[in-house]
Amino acid sequence: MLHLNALRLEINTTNGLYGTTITFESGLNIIRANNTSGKSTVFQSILYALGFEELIGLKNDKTMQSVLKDVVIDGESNFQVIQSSISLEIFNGQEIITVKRSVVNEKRKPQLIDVTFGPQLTKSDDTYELRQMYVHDKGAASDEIYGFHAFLEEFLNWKLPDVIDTNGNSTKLYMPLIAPAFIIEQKSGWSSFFATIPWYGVKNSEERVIEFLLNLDVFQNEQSRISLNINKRLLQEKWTILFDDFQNLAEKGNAEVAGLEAFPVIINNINEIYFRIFRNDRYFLVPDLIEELTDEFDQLNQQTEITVGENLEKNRIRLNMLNDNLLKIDFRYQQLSDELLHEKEKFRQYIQQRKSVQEDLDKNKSAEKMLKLGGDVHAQVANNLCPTCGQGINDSLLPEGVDQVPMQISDNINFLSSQYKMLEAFISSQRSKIKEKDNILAEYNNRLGEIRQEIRNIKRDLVSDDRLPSEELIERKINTKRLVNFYVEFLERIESLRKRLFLLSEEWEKLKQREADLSGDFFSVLDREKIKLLQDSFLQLLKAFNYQSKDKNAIKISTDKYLPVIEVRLPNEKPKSYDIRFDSSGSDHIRCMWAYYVALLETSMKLGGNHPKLLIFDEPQQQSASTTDFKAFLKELSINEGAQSIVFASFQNSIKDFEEATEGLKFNKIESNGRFVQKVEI
Amino acid sequence: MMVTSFIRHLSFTKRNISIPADYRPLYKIGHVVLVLFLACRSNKASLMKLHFLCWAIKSQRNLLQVQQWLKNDFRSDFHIWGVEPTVNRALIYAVAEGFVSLNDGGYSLTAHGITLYKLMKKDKELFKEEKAFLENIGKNGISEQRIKDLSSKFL
Repeated sequence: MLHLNALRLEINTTNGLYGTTITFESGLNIIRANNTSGKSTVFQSILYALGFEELIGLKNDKTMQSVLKDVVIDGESNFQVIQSSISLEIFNGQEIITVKRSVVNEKRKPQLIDVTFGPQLTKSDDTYELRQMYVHDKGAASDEIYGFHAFLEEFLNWKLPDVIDTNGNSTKLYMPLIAPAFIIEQKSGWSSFFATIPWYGVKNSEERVIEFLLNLDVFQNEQSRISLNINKRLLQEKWTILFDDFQNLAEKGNAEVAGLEAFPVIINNINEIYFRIFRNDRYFLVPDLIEELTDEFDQLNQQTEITVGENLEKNRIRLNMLNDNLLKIDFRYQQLSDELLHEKEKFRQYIQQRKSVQEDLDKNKSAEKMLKLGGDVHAQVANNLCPTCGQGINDSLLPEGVDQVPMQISDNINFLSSQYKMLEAFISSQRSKIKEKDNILAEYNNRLGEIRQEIRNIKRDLVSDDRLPSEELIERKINTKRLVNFYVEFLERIESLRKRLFLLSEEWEKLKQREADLSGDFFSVLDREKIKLLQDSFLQLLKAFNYQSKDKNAIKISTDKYLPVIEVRLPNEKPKSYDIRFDSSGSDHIRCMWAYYVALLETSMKLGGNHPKLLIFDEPQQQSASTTDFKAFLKELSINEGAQSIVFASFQNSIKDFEEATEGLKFNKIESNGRFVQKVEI
Repeated sequence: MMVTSFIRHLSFTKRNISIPADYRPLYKIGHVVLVLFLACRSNKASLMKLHFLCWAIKSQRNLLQVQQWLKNDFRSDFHIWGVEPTVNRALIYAVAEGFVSLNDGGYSLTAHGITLYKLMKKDKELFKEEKAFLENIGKNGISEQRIKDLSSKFL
């Protein structure tokens, strides 16, 4: 648990020391103060001391009120701040520590936090151990010795889980992400659930935070999913390496791989992955080719027993045939070279086009950003209005006479993105086309070389001694034998690659199955119980706070977002749910927020969650919720034993309202006598 | 008997067209603001200089060409550069919005324009290359006289 014992502000000014010390009790604390008394300064100081100031907006001292940074106002006079710091004493149920963080101090960066191991504010002592830590730098959440949030995690006996970020990598569920579940800020905190959650690139961070606070087993499954993703990525890498091995082998054997995908798939029949070789104008499978070559070899074997003289006629016929073939293949070779040149040119053009679309896309993204910035500085053109006459313009600088309506930038970006994708597809298909033609061309080239060699050999035979065996035939025989041997070995290597591939495919299948298992209903029985309790206490509280907008039977806690939704039945009996915000009146929306944050605390306390048992509400009486209902809310907070709640409220600057709202309640009243920050007499 | 089917009704929907980002008012205004703040002395420039630098950052190609020219100490021949109507129209809007003011023949950045620049500066990815290029030129990198000399070749 996390309870606050005391807060101290120390502000040194040109007129001496100013500041305040506030002590908190367990149970309900109400800080009642008028609007200009510095209530927000006290609220923000608590966040700042805990390193949660991102909830208000920015990091470090930029968020802080001017009283801590620039000027202290005392009556009619202003005094410049020369040094300031905030100390907060916190209690985890067993130990008390005091954290101190500077706002203005020449010698100390605001990232530094002094942690004193003792109740420095309520029982000052200089024998406590002191350690310096820091926040908001790299390592603040993970460095166990110097990182304040890592330390706080341990102090609260939390074990913050790893979650997945938007890039699919594993990252920590940072502490500032959890804070918006129990600290609700006045200006934007009441607009929606978890409105002030900072952006840390964590996927669905609200859901992860609720799962953590309620300690849902779902988290365990989330972990399994993380490890599954890692395994999937590892397998993908292995697959890519194997894919390259296949390609390399194919290149060595003048072959092509068919049926093999570059990314993991489940392969049911390993025979669908095969090599084919282009030879003599047709494709051969490797075993067929071996057979063909063996036949050729046998024929040659017989022929080599015959001498040149006997072979004369045969050689003449073969020579004619070879010459014919030479012409034919040479012609095709020329033709294919032209085609290839053409394809390569097309490829180059696609690449060029892709580059220009990319440039266009980048420019459009800049234009989109500019449109937003234009809106930020209230430029009329950002709203498609002419800044001079206020008439509509269509977000373009086209001359007026052009009768065309341009797309909106976002549409234009989508349009370009799809063009880009299309070009990607063109390029990849063009690439494989070129590769295929390159292969065939290489094969033609080989073949041409072979034929020329053969023609030379026959010619030599024709003029050599009639009684010798044909030299040409012998050479062909040797070559063929060599090829047969090569492809027999080739076949063995293919088999070993295919075996490896099949193993990977099986592993992939297992991973996919595990993935399917994980995607089902993975709430444990206890999880269901917790969500049920969250829903029940939420509804009960809504009733207590006098929520009116919707039939309470239609309100559910959604099992994917863990937030309240309205569930309706469509005419076809299918349930459909939507955000409760859309159908609640303004004040009912506030009642929902009260009920939800309190229900989270109560559920966690009853069924063993990780809630810090602390709720801090800044000005919860928003949207003119009535005093009676507000009282019901305060009452709920005051009877929560074991939890601490701190409510900052002005009660419409009226003492009467305050007394009405708190009548008969047990709470610790904290009031300012004028402003909170006052001159400290030493 | 011959069965003939007639088309009874045809309708056409005019779709919105895709236009280059250069034709987006705020995109061009952004370029103008960058040029004035980063590459012009006291945030002020003649129309000609604005045209020249807006043309330079219009595309990667122009950018390289101008970089080459700068590298050769303005000596290499500069064949042609463009004066674009979009810049003029963007300037009209920029003046009307109060980002830029027009006085004695020059355009200068107003306080409001500087606010816009600061917002643009915050987003490190926005106009990254343009910013780098213009920062490299700097406020004193290309004087008005230089632009006059350059444009006199064409006039």
